[in-house]
Amino acid sequence: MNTILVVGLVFIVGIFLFIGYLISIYNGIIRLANIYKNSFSQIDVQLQRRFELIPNLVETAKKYMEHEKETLEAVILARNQAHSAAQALKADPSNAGAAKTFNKTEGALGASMGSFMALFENYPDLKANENIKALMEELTSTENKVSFSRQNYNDSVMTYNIGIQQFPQSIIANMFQYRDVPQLEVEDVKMREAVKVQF
Amino acid sequence: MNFFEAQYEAKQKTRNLLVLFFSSVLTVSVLIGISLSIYLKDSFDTENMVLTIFVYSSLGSFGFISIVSLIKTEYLRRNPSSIFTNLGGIEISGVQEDFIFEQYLNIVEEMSIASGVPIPSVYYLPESSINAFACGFDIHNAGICVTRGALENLTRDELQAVVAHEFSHILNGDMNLNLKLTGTLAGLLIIFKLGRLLLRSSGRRSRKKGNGAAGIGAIFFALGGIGYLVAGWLKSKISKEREYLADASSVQFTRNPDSMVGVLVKIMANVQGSQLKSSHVDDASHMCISDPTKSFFSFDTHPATEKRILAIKENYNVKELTEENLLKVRENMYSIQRERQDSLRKKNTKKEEIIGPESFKSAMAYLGPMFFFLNKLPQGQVSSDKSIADMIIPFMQNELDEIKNLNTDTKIHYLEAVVPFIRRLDSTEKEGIYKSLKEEVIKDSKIKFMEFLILSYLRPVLVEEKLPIKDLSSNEFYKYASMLLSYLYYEGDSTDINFIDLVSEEKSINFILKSELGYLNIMDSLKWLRFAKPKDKELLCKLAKKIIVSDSKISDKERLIFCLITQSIGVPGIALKDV
Repeated sequence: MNTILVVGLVFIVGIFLFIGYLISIYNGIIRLANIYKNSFSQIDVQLQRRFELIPNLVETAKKYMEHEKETLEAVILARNQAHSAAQALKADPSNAGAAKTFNKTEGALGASMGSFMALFENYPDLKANENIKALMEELTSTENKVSFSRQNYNDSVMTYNIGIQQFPQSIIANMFQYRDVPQLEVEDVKMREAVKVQF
Repeated sequence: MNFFEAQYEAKQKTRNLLVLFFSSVLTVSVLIGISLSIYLKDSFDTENMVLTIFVYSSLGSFGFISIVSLIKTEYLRRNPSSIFTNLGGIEISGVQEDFIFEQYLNIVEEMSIASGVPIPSVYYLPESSINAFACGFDIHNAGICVTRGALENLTRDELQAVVAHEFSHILNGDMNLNLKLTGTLAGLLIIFKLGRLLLRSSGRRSRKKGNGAAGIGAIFFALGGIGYLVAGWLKSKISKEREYLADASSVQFTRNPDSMVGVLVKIMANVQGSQLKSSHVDDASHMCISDPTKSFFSFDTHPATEKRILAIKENYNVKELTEENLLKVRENMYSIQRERQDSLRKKNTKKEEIIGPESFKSAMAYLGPMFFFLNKLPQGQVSSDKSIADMIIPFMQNELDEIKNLNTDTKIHYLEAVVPFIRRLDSTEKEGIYKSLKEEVIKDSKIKFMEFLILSYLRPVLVEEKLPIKDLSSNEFYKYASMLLSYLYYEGDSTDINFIDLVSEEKSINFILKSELGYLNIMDSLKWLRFAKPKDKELLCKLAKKIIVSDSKISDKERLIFCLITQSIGVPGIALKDV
């Protein structure tokens, strides 16, 4: 009689512990999913910030670079296109065409920003100018913030993916339909390189 | 280097070392018990008595060490930011004239994005050695400090690596870990000192008689001393693992192993190295980027610089780091330094046309959307500080429609994005913003709940006030939670369900009549609920959700309210559906 009671008690305690364990796994998955979702919105915030900053920067640069109107106008054009593409994507995130246009215009903006920064190489005097230096710093930082927010998103997606692929998390993840999330890719690696500023 | 692998390894090793550390403390306690019972065996005859002595003295010394470590930990925890000011750190905030500081602030923002840690307070230390350190017990109240030497001698990429290293210390909670280890060490040290005291006093009193106190003193002296040495050695090993972890995380955040190696080489080449002059340096040495002290008789907190370089780049030829080559690095450093100082000097002599502080403009760009939460644009004549409203309106005019159409999630992220920009303003500007926001809120003589929540969310950033770090007791928690939840109940769309039924599982939550509730109560409760225990916070979130969804539909406004509450009590990133 006593043994049955003990075995039964141990069994019940075991079941409780097991359920607690399952719950903690489930909560862990939710935490990881929240982190990556949160870092996605950060990209959005940084892109928005960049859209707001670019016209100001170009306006300032105009004062010093009268002859480079073309490049400056190209930057503004690319900015406006990327901006409207971003708006279109935001309105309908599931639209594959909008996503493609967004990636393309994003790439074009990055490239034109790259050539904008390369312009300063032609003006050695300008590079020593305090205002230009501050401007370059602002540009570098902005581009960094955009790419770091993407990187942070990819890192957290990776942590999440690994988290739900491991055993036994994978079983719970499958049960609640938590699937792998693809990482963001930059279309052209060279384009990314072009944006890097050398001091 | 494979930085994810390296981080995993470092964390694993820390865990093993921690087990060793605490078992060494346990061993010391048990050994004290054994030696005492052997030593006192002759005085007591019965076997039973010996066993009792063993049990009591083991438990006693373990308890003693625990209590001392708790006291010491609590003492250190009370003054976290004092570490910076003790060292002579100067806070940087607001718009920076100096290019170097502007860059430094930008880098801190970038690394905050890369690591996902909120922006900490930023300090600098006017010393010429290359070093940096971080402090903070949770990621929401952290600080970061870099020496003037690091700002002047390092390139932008290298400074980024340094800041990333410090962010890793904050993210991985190294300060908390170290605090506990230091506290435990203090416990062992006191046993050692107690033993010494007993030895001396009994020695002086009577040299001839080998009385009891001297023997007990000798046991405490020896075991406490050995325990202190072993635990100290383990602590230094743990600290070193945390450095490897921080280096690996730095590479993860910057994706640039070369810059971290560059920093380490420059530290080796620098005349002052990474040494700091201040006498308070010991408190912070484990959070530095490189050892700030140079003494023979203490345990290192950092691995040898060459080893760290090799951990980052396996194929780095360490033999190249000869005196000669380091001299070249040093010369290179001087030229960077000269350039930076030159640009400073030029700036002082020649007044140039100022572009207008970009960061202030962008702060305004972020502040603008905030007014849209209130669904009204600030009018120039209403605002107490005209210049702020004047700046926002033209800047935001083009974006007005877009912002109105933003979804709730993006709105919340805008609000989060406001915070770092506001931090950079100086205190008069902050006060101005707070004042005009407050006027905006109370303008139409009725305060809306939502407006008030936004105001109390931003208040800690805008108004500088020092709050004591403390844990909220359960009584206080229930008091403040009752206020907040009752208010939430009033503000929600009317439901047929009784408040008491909604929170029926928590008997300690009371319903408070509307006539007894004021906005000041809510502000108070939001302020103090930040210090509630994690479990209590979870409970609060659950109850708040229950009240919000009681009418079985969730509006955008309700989602926003929930988000603002969770943000204000310091559990960001929880969506309504996840609770």
